[in-house]
Amino acid sequence: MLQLILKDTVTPCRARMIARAVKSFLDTFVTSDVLFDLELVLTESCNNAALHAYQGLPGELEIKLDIVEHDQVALQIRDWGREFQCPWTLPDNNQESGRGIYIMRQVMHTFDYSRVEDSNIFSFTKKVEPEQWKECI
Amino acid sequence: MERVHIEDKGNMLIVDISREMTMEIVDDLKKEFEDLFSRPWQVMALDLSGVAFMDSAGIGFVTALNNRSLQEGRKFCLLNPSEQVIKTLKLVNLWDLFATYPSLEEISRSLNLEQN
Repeated sequence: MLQLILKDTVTPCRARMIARAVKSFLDTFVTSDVLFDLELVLTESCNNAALHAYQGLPGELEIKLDIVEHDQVALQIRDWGREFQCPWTLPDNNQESGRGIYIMRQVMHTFDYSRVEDSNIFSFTKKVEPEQWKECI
Repeated sequence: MERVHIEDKGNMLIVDISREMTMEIVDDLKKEFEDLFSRPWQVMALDLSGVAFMDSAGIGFVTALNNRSLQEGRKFCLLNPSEQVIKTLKLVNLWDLFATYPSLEEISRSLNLEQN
């Protein structure tokens, strides 16, 4: 197993940059279709931390990425901001927000949220089929 | 406008966003688009052929443009969206919400607009 741990300060302006950095790492291991899903999850998670947990103010963010070769990618995203209270289901078509969690649940195989010691922990796994791994593994 | 390219054809406004549509730029886009709603267009065609990535904030922005256009009695459509945009909109069951066309000619023909 390969593990990456990234700690950074997240803000609305930095959220996408953080997600892109982890995506670049993942690009070495998985094919573009898997990468697309993981990039969405990373971006939505970082956005959530910046906007909802820290409400636009700078705050600590930790991303743990576990790559289990020929099996799955596991992500854990932790912040120490406000407890998460956003919609978990898909809003009406005309709503202009509230789709982040739905997107994450759609593209990953498992999804879990817990509030631990004044922090929000989002955990995800994505099964990766044999043909979706790059040859470097 | 730095982030978008605008072509004003009178009855049709073609707006090309050739960059990512994510939370970090959506607030700026909202300000930039505010001016566009003061123009007398009938149809806004949002060219998304160059958008390589869209998150839920980007989805919300496109939805807002569609809502406002409808409220003002105008038409809003997507022009030649990228594969990534199509995949993301389908993921949240919004693909059918938007009128989508592969070309400007198709928009003009479908909406009976005169080409300027």
